[in-house]
Amino acid sequence: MKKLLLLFSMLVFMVGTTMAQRTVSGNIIDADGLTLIGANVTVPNTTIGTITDIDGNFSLTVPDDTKQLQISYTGFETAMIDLDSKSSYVITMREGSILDEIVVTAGGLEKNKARIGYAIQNVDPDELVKSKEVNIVDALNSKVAGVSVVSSSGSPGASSNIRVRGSTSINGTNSPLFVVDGVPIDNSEIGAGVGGVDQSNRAIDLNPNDVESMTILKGPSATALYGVRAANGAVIITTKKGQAGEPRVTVSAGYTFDRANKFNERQSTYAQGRPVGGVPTWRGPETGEGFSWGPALSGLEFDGSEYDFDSRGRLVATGQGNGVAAESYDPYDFFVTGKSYDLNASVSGGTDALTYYFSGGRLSSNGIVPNATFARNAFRMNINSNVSDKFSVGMGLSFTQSGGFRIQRGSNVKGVMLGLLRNTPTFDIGNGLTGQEAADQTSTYELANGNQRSYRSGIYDSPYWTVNKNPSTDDVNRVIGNINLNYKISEDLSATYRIGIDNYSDRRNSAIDINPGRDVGSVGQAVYTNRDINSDIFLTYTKDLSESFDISANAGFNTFDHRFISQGTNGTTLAAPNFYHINNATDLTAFEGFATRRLYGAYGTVDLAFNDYLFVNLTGRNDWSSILPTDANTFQSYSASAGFAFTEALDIQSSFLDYGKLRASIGKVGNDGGDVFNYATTNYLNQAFIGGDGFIDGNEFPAYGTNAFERDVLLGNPILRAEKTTTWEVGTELKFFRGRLGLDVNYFDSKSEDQIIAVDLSATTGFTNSVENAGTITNKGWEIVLDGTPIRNSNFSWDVALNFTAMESIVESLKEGIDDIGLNGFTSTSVDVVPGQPFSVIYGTGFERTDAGEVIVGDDGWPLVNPTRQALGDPNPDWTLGFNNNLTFGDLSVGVLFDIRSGGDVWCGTCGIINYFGTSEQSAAERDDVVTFEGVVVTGRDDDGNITSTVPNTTAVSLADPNGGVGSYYRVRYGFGGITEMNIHDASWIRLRNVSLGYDLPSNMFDNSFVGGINIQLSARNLWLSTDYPGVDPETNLTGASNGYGLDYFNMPNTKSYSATVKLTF
Amino acid sequence: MKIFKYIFIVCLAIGTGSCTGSLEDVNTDPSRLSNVDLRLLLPEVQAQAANNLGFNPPRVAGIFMQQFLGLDAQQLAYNDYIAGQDAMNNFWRTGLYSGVLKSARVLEEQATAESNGFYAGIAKVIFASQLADAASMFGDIPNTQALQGLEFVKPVYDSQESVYQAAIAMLDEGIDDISFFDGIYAGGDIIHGGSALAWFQTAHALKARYLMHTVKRNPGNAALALEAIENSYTSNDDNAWFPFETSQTANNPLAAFGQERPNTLGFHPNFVAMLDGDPRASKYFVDVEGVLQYFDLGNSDLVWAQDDSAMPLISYTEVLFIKAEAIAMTGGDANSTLADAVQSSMDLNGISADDASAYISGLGNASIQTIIEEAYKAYYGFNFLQTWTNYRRTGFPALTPSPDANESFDPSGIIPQRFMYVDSESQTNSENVEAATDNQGGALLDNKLWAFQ
Repeated sequence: MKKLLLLFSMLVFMVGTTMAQRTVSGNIIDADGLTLIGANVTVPNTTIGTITDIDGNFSLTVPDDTKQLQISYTGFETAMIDLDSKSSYVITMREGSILDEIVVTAGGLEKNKARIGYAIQNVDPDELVKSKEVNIVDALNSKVAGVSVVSSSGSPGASSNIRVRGSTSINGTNSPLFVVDGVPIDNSEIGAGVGGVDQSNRAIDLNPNDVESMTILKGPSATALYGVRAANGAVIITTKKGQAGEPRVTVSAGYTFDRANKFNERQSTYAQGRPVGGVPTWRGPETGEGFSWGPALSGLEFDGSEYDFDSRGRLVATGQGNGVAAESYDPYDFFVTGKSYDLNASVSGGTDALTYYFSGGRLSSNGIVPNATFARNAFRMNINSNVSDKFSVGMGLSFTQSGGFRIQRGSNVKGVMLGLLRNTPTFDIGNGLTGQEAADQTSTYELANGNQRSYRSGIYDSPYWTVNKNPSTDDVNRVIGNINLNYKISEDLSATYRIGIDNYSDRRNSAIDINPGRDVGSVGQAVYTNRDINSDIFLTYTKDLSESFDISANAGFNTFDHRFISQGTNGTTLAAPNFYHINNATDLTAFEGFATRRLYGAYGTVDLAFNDYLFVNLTGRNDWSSILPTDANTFQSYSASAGFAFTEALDIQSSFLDYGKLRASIGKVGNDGGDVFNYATTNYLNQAFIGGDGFIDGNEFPAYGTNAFERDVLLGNPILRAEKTTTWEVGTELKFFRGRLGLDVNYFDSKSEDQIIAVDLSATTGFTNSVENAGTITNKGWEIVLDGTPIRNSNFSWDVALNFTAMESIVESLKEGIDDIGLNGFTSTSVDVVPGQPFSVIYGTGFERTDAGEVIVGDDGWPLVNPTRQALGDPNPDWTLGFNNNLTFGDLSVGVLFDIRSGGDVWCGTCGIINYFGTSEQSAAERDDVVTFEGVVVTGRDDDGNITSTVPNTTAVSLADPNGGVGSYYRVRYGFGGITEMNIHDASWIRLRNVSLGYDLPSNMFDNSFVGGINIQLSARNLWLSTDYPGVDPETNLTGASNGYGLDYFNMPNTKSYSATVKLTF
Repeated sequence: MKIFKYIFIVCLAIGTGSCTGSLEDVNTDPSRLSNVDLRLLLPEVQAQAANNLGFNPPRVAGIFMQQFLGLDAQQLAYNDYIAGQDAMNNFWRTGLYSGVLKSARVLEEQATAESNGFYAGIAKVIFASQLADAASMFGDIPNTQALQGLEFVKPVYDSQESVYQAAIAMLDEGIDDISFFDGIYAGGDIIHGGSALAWFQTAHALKARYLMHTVKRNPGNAALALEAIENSYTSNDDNAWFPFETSQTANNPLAAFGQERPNTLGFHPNFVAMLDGDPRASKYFVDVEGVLQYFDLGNSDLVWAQDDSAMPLISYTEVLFIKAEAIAMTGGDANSTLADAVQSSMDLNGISADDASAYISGLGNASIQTIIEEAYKAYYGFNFLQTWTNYRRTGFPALTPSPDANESFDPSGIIPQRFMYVDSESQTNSENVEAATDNQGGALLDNKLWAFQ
């Protein structure tokens, strides 16, 4: 502690001290005497640096006490030059390995990527920070081949869905395992559903500024060592550590503006109403009716009458009122400019015996929806000490407090987008105001009599009502800590013990206020506590057995203990408005639920290297899981991989091809199915709940003066066994032109069998689901990474990186006779898995078709509906490409990241509903159309009902004929929101995901100051988006980080943002 | 495993509690039970049965019968008979089969094992009535192979005829079980508070109801129904009332729907016309800003749409209407029985004696048509399924189908005769669904069920 105080006081003293400077110059050449252009010359641990000019010369002003310069150049060994009194140096660089990329693999072991026989990819931590994403998962978007990221929306703190090589699990998590400093952490999302609010996935608690390195392990070969929880890949994060030397302080401050980036198009020509007696008629908010199939605005004016819902009165035909013409309002002016700031500070340093890193960060976001917020305060401390030559200790501790004010969304009559998009053009939800100003004015959303002011008189909440009266908050307090002990038993053998804890509580409060005449109000409070303890003990052995053969091996034992408890109370029928506490509720129900799981794992790995060109890695692991039946709770995982550097082995280096490696691996990973299958080996009796009506919340016991229990509808399985995933992959890694061009191509093929699935049973068995080993899912695909430096000279360089992914996940089979398992969504439209189809399809109702695929049209001219639901859309893209450019002009750098997604459907449920209500642009554009639907009319059937003859449809129909009533309209007659098929859209896109501009202020500006360097970063996110999708930004998902994706039902819009960050180094 | 011992020691050494207890203990859910007493199983069976009478099937039946009118969203679509395979899916899965039928069977099996005829009998009575109602909605449905878990993963669909027979047989068994019960009531009977006599009467009332369901096929059932009624109710006090509560977690499903899906379901203008001059009209609906509403938050006049509106599994009123119809069918004079039936309906709605007698004096001769038309008005609010069954059996009251009847679901455009089989069955038990569809000559909404032809 004394030492720390000393360090801080040194820091304080530094402030205000001025330092003498001197100039150092030099010339940099290679072994053949050729000058090296664009080599990096830096003062270690500072931002002071420059690059050599076209003649290989440099000149740099450095503090007087500078002892060393570091020279680096791709393809050469990095050189450290000791400075003496000379002012000019000639430096000869040695050709070196172009393969010095270090990756962190399973068990937290650092390895040279060149020695690995499987696909693995690093992410530059600067790129994470530059992306200005709050959620570290979003920061990975478009940066890694084989990794897909879909953010659920642009709400502050909204979750994101991450997949490595697609999905393998139907019921369990498909998220990769997040590992921080060797300790797995939780990345779950509590409460993902079709309604409610956007929640966070818990990786959001990590501060991207703390990340020193990030490595993505993609296949089971890489993850056999983490066992079951890494079956979907792993994201290995190492946080920053101190380095021996003087304290290094960085401070950064960023500010970000957000705007919604895309909306559905709305109409502004027709009024609220519907046909009455064959005439489109204005029907005002007091009727509670929802349609905007009323008369054209051009024929309406106000009557000036006293009217609660509009100060100018009711709408009447032109000529019957006061001459003030009716007008339409744009409800999108509800959205405001989101504003966020992000402050970070860190200090690091140490001695040879002890190094330290401390950081603190505060992020605070106000969303594009009034009152929406998210904030994160994150602190980290990493201390590492070499207690003796043999014994070292490391400790890492982070504390995060995060949470915000969340907004009701999705399928939910309180939802903001639902209220906005259904709102009729003739109702001014802001009542003369917009945005935050309107939200802060009670009269915007509340009438004088206390009733709600909205276009349907409180049936759908006004968005302004929602953001004030339906609060939902979360408050997460999380501690992640780890202790590492390492003892060097001998030169070759060391022992490590590591224990980590991830402990958080997530306290949630929510309320639905009294909505007079509509809703008696409710309030809920819940606390979720999660505690994961992970411990590893392992031995590592490393030995050069001979000049051409070395070995490293490790063996260890892992325990993982998970305990998740949810507790809370829900109350209904509030006593007083504007009081959001459980004390305000009249009737209470309480709940407490558990998820407990424990795993033991014994594992070992052997790495063999021959002559630096052949590398073999073998791993094995045995797990014991509490989830499986006690007498059969063990299962195995193993992998083998090999890398062969043929250029080295055959000595075929040329100036064109510097390096070439082939690699192959095969692995099998077992899995216990994950937390969703806790307690699934037996049958339970649950406290009773009355279900069976999707429209209302069922009654819950205790009720009617008694408690009650009922048998669970999930049939447990006492003979459950582990699922297994087998993967093989082959790849090659090539370096050309002295490392200026690199190509990494990988093909993988994995097969997951014996999936543990809660299989849908016919409910007539008395169970809706049974837990079974069933089903096979295959994933195969290409991952291609191309990186290069097309241009590099003394004042300009251009680096590119392309990440290409094309893959296919197929559900080969489910259980015999099971044709479909729902993942998420609605009764009418859902995301399901269906045998023979891609992993997840959009499932719902389509038009009736002949065997030849022609739509069958009824005698009346309207296409018929097939009453049986079917697979209609594939939400998976055909391929994705991230295209990253970094341009450097001296001290200025520009980053440009394009993201291209080809294919993949999204169900625009929003579109269907606003077409139904008549608020969409489309509903106005086609209102007068008379259409002959393409299709055939059946003219003959055989005795079995099979079609024997058809004729083309020739009957024209009016899409909106007032004489038939609103029920006869094209957009209404197929039911609420139309049928699924009408609303499936291709969601391909090209977007400019990120543009950034960084500038290092010239170091001579800081001569005579304590400041070491200043970097200014400007960036823009989602600046440009090109897509044919008609709704919000198609990078969206109704059900958050759940296994179902591809649904858009009044999802919150995504955002584009602009930010500026200043970073100071001392 | 010896190795765990060592690990355990390591864990102790560093002072975490993470490694205590066996893996089996870890996999035991502390929040649930493995077995419970009969008295803790019975309440859910009764609550589920009562809720099912106010869930989606009765509401949609109410729309088909033009007592309700869909105003918006799915309810609006039901007006035009857009009620496909997704419409009754939730109900079929967790309301019916893996709902009340599952729970009643679990209760029955445990009660039989414990030789407790009271609980076994109630379980059978409720099971039989819910099963017979399901047959009236869906026609052929699983019964003999149903509810046996993995024994029959794909239960066959039994004919509607055999399901009705099984239901009647089960009611008889239940009556026996209850009659011979000489043990001590152990609690949990929300409906009759442990009265074996009341259950004996309820079982007979239900038997009469389901005998009449198939009376078109078995004319002798009218006499049998009259016999059963002899052992049934003598006043509305005897009704199998299920008491809902004001609490939002124990409230009446029609009231819950009105609050949670506001303004999507209203009251039908045709029914308003039919109720012209009827003193019950103000108890059934209200005009709010020109929209006819069956529910209006805070309006206590609406007898059947209060959070705590009780719902009878069967009522004395219905017994009297059944009796009147059976008398009329067997050639008797049903006038006084019809008058009693209407009077008891007036009592249920709290109509004054003067208003009631004025109305009753205007009743016409107790023809089948008059009886069914009066039942149509009297059953409102608690007995939508029987109203629909009555219509399909007798064609009364005469209703004009929606002119926009959806051609895909109801090709012939008549008032729907059944619900379609549900989505989840097509996905998990498709062969049997197809066989049942073939057996009935189709399963679209206009397909007439065996009992009602």
